[in-house]
Amino acid sequence: MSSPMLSQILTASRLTDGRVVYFTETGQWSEQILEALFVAGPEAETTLLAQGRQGVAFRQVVDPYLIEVVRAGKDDPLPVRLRERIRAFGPTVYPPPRALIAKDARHVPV
Amino acid sequence: MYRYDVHDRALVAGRVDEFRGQVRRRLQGELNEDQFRPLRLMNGVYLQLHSYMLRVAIPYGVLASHQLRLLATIAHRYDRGLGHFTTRQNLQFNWIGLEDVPDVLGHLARVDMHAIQTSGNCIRNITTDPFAGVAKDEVEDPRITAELLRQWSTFHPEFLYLPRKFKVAVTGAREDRAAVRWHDIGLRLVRDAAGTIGYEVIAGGGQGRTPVIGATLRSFLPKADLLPYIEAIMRLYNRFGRRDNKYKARIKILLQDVGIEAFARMVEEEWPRVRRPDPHLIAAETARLVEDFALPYRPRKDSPVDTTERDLAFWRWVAANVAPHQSADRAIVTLPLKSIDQGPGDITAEKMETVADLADRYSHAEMRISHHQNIVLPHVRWTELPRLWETLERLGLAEPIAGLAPDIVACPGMDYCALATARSIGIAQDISKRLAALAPPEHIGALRLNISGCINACGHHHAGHIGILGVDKRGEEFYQITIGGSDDYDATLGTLIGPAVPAARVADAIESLVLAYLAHRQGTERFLETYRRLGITPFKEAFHAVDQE
Repeated sequence: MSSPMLSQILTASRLTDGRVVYFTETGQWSEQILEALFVAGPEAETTLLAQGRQGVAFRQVVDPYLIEVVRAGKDDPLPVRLRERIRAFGPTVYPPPRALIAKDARHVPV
Repeated sequence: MYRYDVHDRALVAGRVDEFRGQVRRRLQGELNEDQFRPLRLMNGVYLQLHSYMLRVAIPYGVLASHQLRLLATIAHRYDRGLGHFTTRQNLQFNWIGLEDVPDVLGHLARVDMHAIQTSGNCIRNITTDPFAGVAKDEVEDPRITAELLRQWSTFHPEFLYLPRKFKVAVTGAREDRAAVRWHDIGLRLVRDAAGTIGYEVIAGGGQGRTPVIGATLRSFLPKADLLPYIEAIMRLYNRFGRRDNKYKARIKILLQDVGIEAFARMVEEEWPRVRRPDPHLIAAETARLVEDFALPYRPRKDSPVDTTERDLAFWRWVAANVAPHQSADRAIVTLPLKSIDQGPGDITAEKMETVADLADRYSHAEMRISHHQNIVLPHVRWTELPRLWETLERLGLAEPIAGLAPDIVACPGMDYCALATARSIGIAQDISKRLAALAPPEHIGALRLNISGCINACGHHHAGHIGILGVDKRGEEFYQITIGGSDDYDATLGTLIGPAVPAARVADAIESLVLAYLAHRQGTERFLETYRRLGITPFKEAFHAVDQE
């Protein structure tokens, strides 16, 4: 059996709301890890990090860095480190009481 | 309760406006992250794993019902309907957007709340006894001192850029419910031989990677000397505390380097040079605070305790969660936020609203937040306890566990925190389930379990009777277990019991320690007492039996 293929993807926190985002094949930042662009090899990683710096310069993201992922199933990326799996898929202990995006609750009067 | 005056309100409103401008400049690119980070931290805003986190100050843990309702609304509108009470009596929102923070702070300001002194290298939010002002074993209400210190320390120009954060706790009771020996400065209100009230000043305590139990700097300080004396300590720390290494920058390291006696002499030399505040001003302000913090009813000496309630579950709850009050017709009620479904200290917005209603109905609209991450209703009539208990039962807030094993203290751990190296909440849930299957909590008795997801020790694991520290070992979560810690006046540092265990074995290990205690305890001896009598050996043997399975 062959070992799973290791790749790198670029992640960061979105500047405006801090949400976890990934750099995609189309050059955008997405909340979906499934849309992340995979690379392998030092040259491609350097290029990807440069995209991260550009995201910082364009005030899209904060603290970009590469993470290691295995490509499982239909090439779905699974972060190697638990910390990154938690960032990608949310807290492990219980679902937030409502899968509510804050903006959906703007009708709540203060 | 203390109410903000015109100066407090102007100060908070000014801070909101200032931060609104800073956020705008950040979003427009006039400030980069390196420039902005210290500014957002001064306003309680951290960038965590999933989002920005906002830490809201609850000065000395005193919270009014209308404030809790506002927190619920913020949780609904700007977060995901959840708040987390911390071990420093604050509340954290874990899913806040940076662009929303100025509005959130604006809403908070309307109910005299803010995020000032919740982060950064300043004097942090002052903490105190959650039973302050109503505890039966109290020399004096410590909130008066805590509020004076809050006013003195907020935006004190000399102490905005300390070598590191600085934590102060105050207690006025014989039993320490504020962990004063684990703080940079701990103040304990005491009486001297003549019966005059003053302070025992303790300094140099702290947890984190270098746990140190604070030592007494001065056994009796007259009350009038408090501010200049504390200012002298701060000046010395500001001058001599290390700034070259953040891990050696806390005052505890300075005190270890200099020695407590030499530092005490330095303070004695320094503080007469500190400009003393106008005594008339302090006296007037103290008188105002005494009035603000006075009981909102006349205390009674007779006890109309209603003993007609026959339900055993009610009396189990009273035994665990109800504490004696200064007024014989009242009681202090703890609402444990330790549901197995959620993390220690977590509370939904819906529950916040309900608890606020209960505070209105039963506790003069007042609550306290404890450093054990629970809510306290400080003014409940004894005659109303049965009705309150029935309501709490329905809400899942009447578990009779305050101070018992399931009353676990834990930081958010790696499920939320960017610094954490391991998870805490799931471990707390595993242990709760295991101990629930082992024996009723009151059978196990008083037992403090504290869990931290990293060496920064926000879960106060060093002070737990059993402490659990999550560590990363080559990408795997492991947990070091300590035993024998305490946050009482006789504070002790927990001792490591053996090699770290994987997450799946933590509940086994804790169960083995509890079983060892149950096997060895004499009479009504508590866990810590059994440990102190026998030492670590029987516990180590029980632990190793699990470790080697």
